[in-house]
Amino acid sequence: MRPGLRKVALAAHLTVSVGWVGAAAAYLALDVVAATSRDEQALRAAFIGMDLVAGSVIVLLAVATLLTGIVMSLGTRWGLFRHWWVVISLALTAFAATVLVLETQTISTMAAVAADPSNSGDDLRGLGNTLVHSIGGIIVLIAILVMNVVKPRGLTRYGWHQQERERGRQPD
Amino acid sequence: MATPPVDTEESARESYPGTPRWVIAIAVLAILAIIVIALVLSTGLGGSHGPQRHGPGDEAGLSVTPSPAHAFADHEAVLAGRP
Repeated sequence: MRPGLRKVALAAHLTVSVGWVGAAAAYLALDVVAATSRDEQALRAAFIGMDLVAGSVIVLLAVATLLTGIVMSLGTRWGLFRHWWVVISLALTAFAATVLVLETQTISTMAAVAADPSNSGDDLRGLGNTLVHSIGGIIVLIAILVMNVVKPRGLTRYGWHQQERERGRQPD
Repeated sequence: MATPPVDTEESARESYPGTPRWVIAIAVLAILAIIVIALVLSTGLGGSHGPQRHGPGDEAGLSVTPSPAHAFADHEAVLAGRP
């Protein structure tokens, strides 16, 4: 990847990945309201807001993070399966995105219940919350972020063989 | 005939140095997390949780989208001036 293009791709990857953490934090604030509030209007607003934030923002950022991350890995010397930190980051990102997509179905159902005026405040309080997912998700995202900044050393077996092959090609 | 000396640098190059300790630590933590989640789900301590929760027909049996009959009854009630 040419240096100019690499910088654009890196800027895009940083924007969407850090944006994912920020959007997840905004979602967590609504989730806390859904878990703790006794006010019917606040509950309705929280569930509908959670659906909007998750469906319209977080899912898009998650998919964009996964795609730009793959592009960055394949387009630079890091590769996709050469370094352990890249492999683990990819696996955790894919796992978090999958859980998120599954979770959006539950969130949409909760929002639809909240939007239905025939459901009472007690009904809304009985819906529960998604705090386990939102807190767990933020912890995973921060772990990925730290790993991407620190870039701990360690080649995979594939990466090590690739490196040896490249060394063998280099003239002494 | 004497055997050629072993090139230690070359032989060191041929063997993979092994998986880093931090990767093994993360793998152990991941396995422990999976065991804890499996225990929580199997014992029911986590409530109605897990991937099955995301399928259709979940959420405490509440009305999500009013049935056509329900909507029609509501409409009739409005037309008749009933609450």
